[in-house]
Amino acid sequence: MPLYPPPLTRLIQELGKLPGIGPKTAQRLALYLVGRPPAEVNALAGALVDARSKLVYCSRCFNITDVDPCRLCTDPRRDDQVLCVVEEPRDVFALERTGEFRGRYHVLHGAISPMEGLGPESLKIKELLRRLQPGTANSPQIQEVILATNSSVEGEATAMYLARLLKPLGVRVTRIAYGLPVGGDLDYVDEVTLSRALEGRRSV
Amino acid sequence: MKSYWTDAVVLRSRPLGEADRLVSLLSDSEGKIRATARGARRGRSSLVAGTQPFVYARYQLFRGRELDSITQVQLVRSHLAVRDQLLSFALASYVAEVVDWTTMERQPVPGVFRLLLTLLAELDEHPPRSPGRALALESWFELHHLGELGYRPQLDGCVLCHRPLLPSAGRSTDNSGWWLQPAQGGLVCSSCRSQSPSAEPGVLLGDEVILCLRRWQQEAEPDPGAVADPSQPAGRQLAAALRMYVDYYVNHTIRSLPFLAELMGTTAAAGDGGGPRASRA
Ligand SMILES: [Zn+2]
Ligand SMILES: [Zn+2]
Repeated sequence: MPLYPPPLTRLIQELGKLPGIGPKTAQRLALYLVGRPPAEVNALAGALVDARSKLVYCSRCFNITDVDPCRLCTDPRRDDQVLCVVEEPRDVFALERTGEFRGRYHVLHGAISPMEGLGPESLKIKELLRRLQPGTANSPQIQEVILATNSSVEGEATAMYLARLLKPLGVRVTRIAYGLPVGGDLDYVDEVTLSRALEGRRSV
Repeated sequence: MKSYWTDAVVLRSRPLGEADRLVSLLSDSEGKIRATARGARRGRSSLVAGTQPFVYARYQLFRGRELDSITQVQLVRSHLAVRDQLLSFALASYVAEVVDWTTMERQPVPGVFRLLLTLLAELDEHPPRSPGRALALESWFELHHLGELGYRPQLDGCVLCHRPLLPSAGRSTDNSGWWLQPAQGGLVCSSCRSQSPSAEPGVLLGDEVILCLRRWQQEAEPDPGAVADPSQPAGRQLAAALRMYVDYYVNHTIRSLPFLAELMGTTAAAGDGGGPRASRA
C-alpha cells in the first residue's frame, strides 16, 4: 500500500465515503483536486459547506430547501387540493422538470423494503397522515393524493400500503400509470412493463 | 467456461451505485449466486424487470472473481401478482430472506428451489384472502424448508424419552402437553422438559397444531393449495413455534419479520427469546 502524506490520506478517505466512489476513484479525484489552483478548491469547499449549512428538509413536504416551508409548499399559484407522494427529493425535481404537475408534494424518504429492515415507520408516513387531517391550518382540504413511488417491488408495496391507510380518510387516491417508453418499439419492451401497460390501458 | 445459463429465482435485489443492482439468486443447479446487474435500474434492458425480487427467469451469467455478472435475462415467470398484494409481498419477502440466510453460495439445494417456486406460484395464483391464510402458508413453508435443510422436526413422540404420541391426538399419555424445542430436534414431553432445565423454553403445542404439523410432514408432494387454514389460536401457535424453530437455524435477525407480523397482527418477537441464540454464540 502506498504511503500518502496524511492530508492526502484524509482526503482520499473522505471522498471514498461518497456513494459510487471506490478507493481507486477516490485516489484519482484526490490527486486531481490537490493539483488544481487553490481558488478553485476553495470554491468547491465553500460550496460544500454552504450547501450543507443552508439546506434543510422542508418541515411540511420534506423536500430539500433553503427556506422553510419550501417554495413549492408556499407558492400561491400551486394547487392545494392535489398532493403528489414521492420516494426521494430527486423525484420532485424530475416531476418539476415535466412542468405538468401544479400541486404540492410529499417526500417519503425511501420505500418499504422489509428485507433491508425498512418498514413504514422509517418513512415520513406519520407526517403525511398529519397533512391529511381535515382542519389542519397549513394544509387546506387535500382532495387527491397521487402515489408516485417507483415501479420497483418496494415502490409498489409502499403505494399499496399508503392506499390502504389513506382510502378510509375519504381522499381520492391515485397511482401514476405504467407506460411504454415514448418512441420505443413494442417488441423491445420487457414482458412485465408490457403487461402493466396493458392493465393500465385507457379508451381513446 | 466463463459464461453460463441457469434457472433461478431472485431472493434479494439491492441498488448498487448509480444504475446497477446487486442481486442474490437461488439457482436450481448452482445454489445461491451473488451477482451484479449493470444498468438494471436504468433504461430499457430486460435486466430491469429480470432483477426484481421473486422473479423466476433464465439468467446468463459471467463468472467473476467475487461476484458474477448478469448479462441476459429471459423471464420464465415474473410472479407479478405477488407484488400486487401486501400480504403476499410481505410473506414472499420473509421467505426469500429466510432462504437467503439458510443457503450457501454454490451449494445446490434443488428441494429448497422447488419449494420456493411452489410457494411463489401459490401466492401468484391465489393471493391469501386473510392474514390467517398467510400465516398458515408461512408455517407450511417453514416446516418443509426445515426438512429440506435437514432439520426436520421430530414429531412422533418425545425425542428424549421416546414416549409416543397417542395415535390420533396430540396429547401425551399423561395429558400434560408437548413442547417444541429446536435444540432437541423436535417434540419434548413435559416431564422431560421439567427434568432438563434448558436455556430454551420452547413453545407449548396444542392438539390441533401437532396434528397439523404431522399432516404437513406426511404430504407426499408439498402442496400449498391443500393447506387448510387452522383456527386462529392454532395458527398463531404454529407461527410462534415455527418462527422460533427457523430463527434457531437462521441465527440472524430476520429483518422482514416485523413488517409481516404487522400485517398479520402477530408479534414479531416469536423467535427473539435470546435463549437459543445466546447458547449457540
Ligand atoms: Zn415543502
Ligand atoms: Zn420425554
